[in-house]
Amino acid sequence: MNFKFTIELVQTGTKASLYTVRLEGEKQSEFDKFLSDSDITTHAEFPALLERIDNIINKHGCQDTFFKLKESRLTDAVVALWRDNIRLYCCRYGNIILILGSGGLKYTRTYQQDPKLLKSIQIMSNVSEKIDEQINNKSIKIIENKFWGNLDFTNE
Amino acid sequence: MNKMKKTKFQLLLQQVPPETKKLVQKQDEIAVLINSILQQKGLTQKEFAKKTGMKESQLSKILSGNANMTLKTISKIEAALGEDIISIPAVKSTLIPQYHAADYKKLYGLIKPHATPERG
Repeated sequence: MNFKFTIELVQTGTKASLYTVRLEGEKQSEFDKFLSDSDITTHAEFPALLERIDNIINKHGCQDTFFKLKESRLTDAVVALWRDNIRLYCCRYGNIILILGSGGLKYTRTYQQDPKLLKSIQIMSNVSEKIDEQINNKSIKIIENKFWGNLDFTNE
Repeated sequence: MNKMKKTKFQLLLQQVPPETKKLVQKQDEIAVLINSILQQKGLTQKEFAKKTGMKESQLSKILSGNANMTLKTISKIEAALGEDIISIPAVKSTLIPQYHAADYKKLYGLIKPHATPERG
């Protein structure tokens, strides 16, 4: 699946920066959709997940210990932030950059069995592929804990 | 000067209860510390699970900062690591309470103040 999107900065911390994805034509970014999903925001562990994100950008960086790794393909940057059965799918670039997508509550054994989770992962997998291409051809660089370059993928 | 509008994330973060902040802070610090010690000692998660007698799934939750450990589990981990992962500050004790001079006078009433030289 091929999505058109832009990458937007959410917040910069002392250890890492948070970005998110906005699909072309959509009012909300993927992370804002996650934050607006009442199934997620009423989950008992949702506040703890928010605090984890804050600790990641301001205290510990995006250390791999906090994530479920290799959630999509072995070769891409897609990981999952989780708390109980909440899944927030992201693209992780070392310990310094996290692109937050969306996700949901996981009740199935695999994400492929849940259409909502599957779509979230497909979006982030696509984001990972496009960003990797731009990093490889040096159109995007990672300097300190920020992306530098063209983060608009709506003209692909 | 206009203040920057807070994002939805920042607004929701402000609502996180203090006890949740404390819990996640401790879970994260413990997870990072144990992972660091395991790396230094060259131990895999599997090897460490075997050493502690814990299930790998339980250890995985601890190492990802998602477990609410009992003191018993913490002790088991510390014993297997050979290092403390939490410490409790020493309790300060004062054997002699600090009284003000007025309190001594009340207590002992009969104590006469030392003669003080007249100021001239």
